[in-house]
Amino acid sequence: MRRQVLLLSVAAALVAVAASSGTALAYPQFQMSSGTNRCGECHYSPAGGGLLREWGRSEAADTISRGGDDEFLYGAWEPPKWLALGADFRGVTGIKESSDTSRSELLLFPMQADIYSRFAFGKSLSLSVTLGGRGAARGFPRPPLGSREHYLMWQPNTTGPYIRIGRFYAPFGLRQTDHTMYVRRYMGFYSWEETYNVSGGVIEDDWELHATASAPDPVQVGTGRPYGGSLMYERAVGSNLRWGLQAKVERTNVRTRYIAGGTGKWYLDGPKLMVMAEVDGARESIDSTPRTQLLGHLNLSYFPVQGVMVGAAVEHYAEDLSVADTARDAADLMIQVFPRSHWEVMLMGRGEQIGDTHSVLGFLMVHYYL
Amino acid sequence: MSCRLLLPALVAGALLAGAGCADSTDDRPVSFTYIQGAVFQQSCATAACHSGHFPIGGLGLDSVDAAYAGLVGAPCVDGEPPTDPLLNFVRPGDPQRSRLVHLLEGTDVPWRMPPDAPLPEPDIELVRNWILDGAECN
Repeated sequence: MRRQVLLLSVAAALVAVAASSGTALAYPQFQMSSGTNRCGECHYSPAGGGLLREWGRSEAADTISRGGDDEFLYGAWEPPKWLALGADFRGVTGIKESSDTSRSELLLFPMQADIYSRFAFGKSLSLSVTLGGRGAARGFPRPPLGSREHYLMWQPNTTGPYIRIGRFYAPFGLRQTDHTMYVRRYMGFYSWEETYNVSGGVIEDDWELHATASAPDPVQVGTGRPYGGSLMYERAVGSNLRWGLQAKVERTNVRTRYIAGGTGKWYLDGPKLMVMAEVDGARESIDSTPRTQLLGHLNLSYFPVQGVMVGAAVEHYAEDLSVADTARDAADLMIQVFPRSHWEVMLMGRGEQIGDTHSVLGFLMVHYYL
Repeated sequence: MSCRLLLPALVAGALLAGAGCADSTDDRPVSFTYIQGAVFQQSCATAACHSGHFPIGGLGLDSVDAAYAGLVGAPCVDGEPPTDPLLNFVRPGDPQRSRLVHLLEGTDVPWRMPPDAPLPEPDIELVRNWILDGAECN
């Protein structure tokens, strides 16, 4: 395991070293590196993700990728002002090996096929609906189609107050794009775990506050996922540093979980390095038996040249601090290339250690957005 | 300590935690309700897998009743001894011949469950002990 992780580290380091230093770049989740302060500057969603605004499309083409046409359908048809459309398609192939089963697993599957729509009713009110196919690494997804997000939103301006009602992920923590990362997998934000929410908040350039009450999707998720509520606050310190606090309560038929944590994002101008971190602690009661959990996440991203991002992450999740060998650790190395607007190719290696068992996953993802 | 160093320090602490603070003894209750909440709900009853109206393999693990019926082949009645048909995932009293244990261990099956990340060994041991104790819906 250590040797394989080391090899992956060396490979990523070689790529990083071989690439020459270039223009300072931006990426939607790295808002500070381009002077973009808020997720909602690039996305219609106030917490980020999904359909891009005009500014986000422009950033994705001109600043993040190596250039190209940023428009929907490459400008062949322009939707009316009250309608915004977009789409994301992701396909993955990879291989996974685990130490205890001594078996390689080949993965080849469509990860995502979502079509986004947003209907504006005047200046403040909008309806956003995402429809798409469900990807599955193994077997056939049931149902094969679904809607990750559908919500009604009142938001007079991109800054100031907003209210959202419908299905989406509640704003919480770093909101990494990769659903297998522990900050999503074990914090209630795994794939297709968007909840039905009543959410509201205030967003300003140097701070934002979100409060959400949540219920699980009864059709696709079932009774095992929790009802609950969450709070998230983030504040800027200067132009390159942001810190945040978050809290969440979850309740299912047999367990209650209280989570509290913090986040940090720090962009270093000189080395063009983004540092992101999240720590969460949880106290959970299951059928009146308590347990304490701890999660740590550290992520570094480096932009060697325009159109290339090299990242590394380490994670630790202790499922029950009172029981030995129930913790898991992971290390990720990612190379993302944005050769032209609308395209992304990602090479990722992930090593995971759970007790005495370790596994290594390597995969290639191709992403196209419309 | 400046706030720029505080969070990395906290993350480092969290990443190192668990290395030496956990007990070697496992005092968790060997009950199906605890196992369903602590293990199945969080690792198996995720949105794309054993949950909702369309669970993979027809096996829903998102509630105590559904999980027990699906695994043991009997309704969850506290104190009621489970039936023991050959096709059940659990053979009460016999973890070595229970398909659930084989799936969690990744032995004699096409792939291990959960396929994305295995359960920690103490969690599998908890399931083994519950089966050994008779696999009651307690």
